[in-house]
Amino acid sequence: MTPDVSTMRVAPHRVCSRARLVGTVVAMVLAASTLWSVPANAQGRGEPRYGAPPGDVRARVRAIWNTGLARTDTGRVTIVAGDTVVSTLAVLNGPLLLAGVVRGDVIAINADVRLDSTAWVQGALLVVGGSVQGRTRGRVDGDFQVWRSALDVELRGDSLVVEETTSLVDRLAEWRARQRSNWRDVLVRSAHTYNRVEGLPIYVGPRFQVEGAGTRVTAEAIGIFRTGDRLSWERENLGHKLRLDVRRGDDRRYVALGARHVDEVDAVESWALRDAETGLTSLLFARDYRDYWNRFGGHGYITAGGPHGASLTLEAGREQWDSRAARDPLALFPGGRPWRVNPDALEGTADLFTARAVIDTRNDPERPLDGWYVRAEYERGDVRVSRGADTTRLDLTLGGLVYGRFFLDARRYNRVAPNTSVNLRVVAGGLAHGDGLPAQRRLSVSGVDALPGYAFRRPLGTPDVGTCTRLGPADFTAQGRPAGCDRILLLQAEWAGDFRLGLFGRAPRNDDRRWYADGLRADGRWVVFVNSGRGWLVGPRDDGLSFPRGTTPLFRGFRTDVGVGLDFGAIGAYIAQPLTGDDAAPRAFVRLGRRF
Amino acid sequence: MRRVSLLWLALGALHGAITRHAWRPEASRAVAVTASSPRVISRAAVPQPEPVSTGPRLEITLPTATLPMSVRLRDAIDGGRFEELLRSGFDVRVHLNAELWKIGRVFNDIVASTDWDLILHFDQFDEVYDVARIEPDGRVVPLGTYRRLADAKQAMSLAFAPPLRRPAAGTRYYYAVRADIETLDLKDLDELTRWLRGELGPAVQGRKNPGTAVGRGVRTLVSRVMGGEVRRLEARSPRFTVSGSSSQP
Repeated sequence: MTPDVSTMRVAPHRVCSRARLVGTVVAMVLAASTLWSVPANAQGRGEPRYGAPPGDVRARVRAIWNTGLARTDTGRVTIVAGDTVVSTLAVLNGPLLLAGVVRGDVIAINADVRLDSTAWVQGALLVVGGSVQGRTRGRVDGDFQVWRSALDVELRGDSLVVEETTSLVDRLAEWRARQRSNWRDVLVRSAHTYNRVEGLPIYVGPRFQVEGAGTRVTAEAIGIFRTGDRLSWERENLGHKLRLDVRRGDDRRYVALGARHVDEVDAVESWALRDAETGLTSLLFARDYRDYWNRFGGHGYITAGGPHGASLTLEAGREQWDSRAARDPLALFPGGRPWRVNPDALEGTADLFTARAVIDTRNDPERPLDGWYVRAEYERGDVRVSRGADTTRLDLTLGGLVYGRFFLDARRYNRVAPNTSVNLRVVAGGLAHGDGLPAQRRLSVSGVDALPGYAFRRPLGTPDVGTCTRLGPADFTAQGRPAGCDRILLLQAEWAGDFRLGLFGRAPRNDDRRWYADGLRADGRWVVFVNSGRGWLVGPRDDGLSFPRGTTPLFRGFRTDVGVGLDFGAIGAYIAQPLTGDDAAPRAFVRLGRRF
Repeated sequence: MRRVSLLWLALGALHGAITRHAWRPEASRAVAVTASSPRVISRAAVPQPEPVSTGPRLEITLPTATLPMSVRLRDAIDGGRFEELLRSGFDVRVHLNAELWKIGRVFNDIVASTDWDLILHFDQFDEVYDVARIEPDGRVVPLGTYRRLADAKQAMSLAFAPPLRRPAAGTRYYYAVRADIETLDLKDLDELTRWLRGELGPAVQGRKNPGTAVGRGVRTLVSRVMGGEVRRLEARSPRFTVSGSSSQP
């Protein structure tokens, strides 16, 4: 042990003092390393720097403490005026109150430093994990750095161990390792969303993923339990979803082979509203804007994926289709309204072939400003009908039904100026060939997503081009107001730009604070939109509702509405005015997220 | 017809007011953008910016001949309930996205885009704040461990130069940066997956578990209305043109 001769007087508050003799050799060694790297956020001398201290700083702290050539103290250290430390001084945890002279360097580790006007550091001053008070009062001849980030250090005997990573970094690294490795877990979550047929469907079951050599195998065996209108263990409340997927490649280019077997409830027209919107209106107001039917069967598929979210899937399988009746699940504010009847589905066994292509070049899927989103699907079905359920046309009987159905949802997002965009959408779908569409594969142009100026599936005029029904209002309502169109075409356009409001105080204009509540700012987008569309039947031309197979009634009988709204990101409020039809009253509506 | 006319009148008035507001010069002036080399970057009729605002904000520094474009997020968690939630064990996660847009004759086009994340974690055992950045290439870069929240906030506001392609000469561009600031429970790795990948993609495809659609909707709605643990910031630079020869960063 080197004798403690380096100080003239020891501070009374010092917890531990181990002064060491240091000569000019030490000073030279330290001087050679005073050219510490200048960090990106370096300010002036002694100004605080943020970010993890670089490796050379950590190494220097470790070296100075552990070489045994410096005086090392832990806890509060005071060097009063008139005192002189002839060596380098290293203080752990501090604080260091310096009014005297240090002929070497001063290193404060996780310690604050106060410099008095009489303080004089003839070497460099390095503070890591602390602050410096009196930065301009004292005198520092050498380099002067203050790093506010603390070091994770541990004293083991006389040695100082400096940990290289933080707990946060370790945890993130663990998470990243998990992403690349194999995993298994038990899934417990809700399926799609709350609805009048199932209540809340819940997925429960194991799943795992094995990955190696560019191949990923995912398997899941999920049971479905539906809360329905009462919690009971009965066939109606149970379902399942089994899936095996083998995928080769990375996210940018891959091929996947898989198989699945399901017993689940599916939505008839899931393109129109988001799950969250459908679930919320059901749970809150007993308004369910979708229809449902049951699918039981298995499929095999192959998917090829490429860059820009492009994928092509070919799928074939056999399913048993059944109707599902609406039940009476909980609604918080039903207002005395009964649940809408769930329309009957065509029941039977269906052999299905589906081809689905997706291209997604949007810059942000949730709030796109640029790019394409195109989803195109073709489905060929061969159905052995066990129970007809043609609620809008009575031309189907027991027997076979062969059909082809296409569906296209194409969107283009254009930024025409830094704060203005013009977005376009085309939705088209329906019968491609065959005898006609099963009830659950028909379409409608109605509701908040398609034509918000018109009420959801309320027949307007004769013929009704929204739902393609020929039934009277009473019969139509009794059957659940089903979608009945063989084909639809919907065109949507919107012009949107930014707005910024500051209700209290001066609103800074350089950011977008959606629902930033303490200043009551509500920045977002204004939106002006127009929608136009209709549905029609395929058949002999008659009363403006039915058109021959090769005909498209472009702009004949189209329903059109225009509107304005304010979009705050997660929520938007709009008003739409119908331009055609007898009902001329404007309608207000709310969307969770963008319209499209 | 009268209703329709009124609607169009209102529409016209709204558009006029909004357009005037949006393109007033001071709206651009407040954008905290710095350009240290005017010979390289020329901005279109925009006076020298003055970063006047306080509170959460994004600042964009235009590239110069020697330095790349950089982004600084200041006071990200000031206001709201972030600090309270942070001390309760919910880490703060900031997802940032920077885009370089080219101004065309009719439409603006994205030239380059990149994403990165900031994580602020409170270690309740040691009572220190850890800050880390997940860079676009997936590297986790520690930004320090701090005993004071104010210091941790300073670390979060360190400038970062996202690896965006350098703009070419002779074309008009602007940068758009957005930051989604949300609380995050790191213990839920599925949630982390979702957030780090950028919201709903995995959930829609059924690969991961983001919670229920209803629950997500309610949470989002409530958090927005209450000004809670979700915040979104956006900033755009003024339009600029690179007058010198371009080079890759």
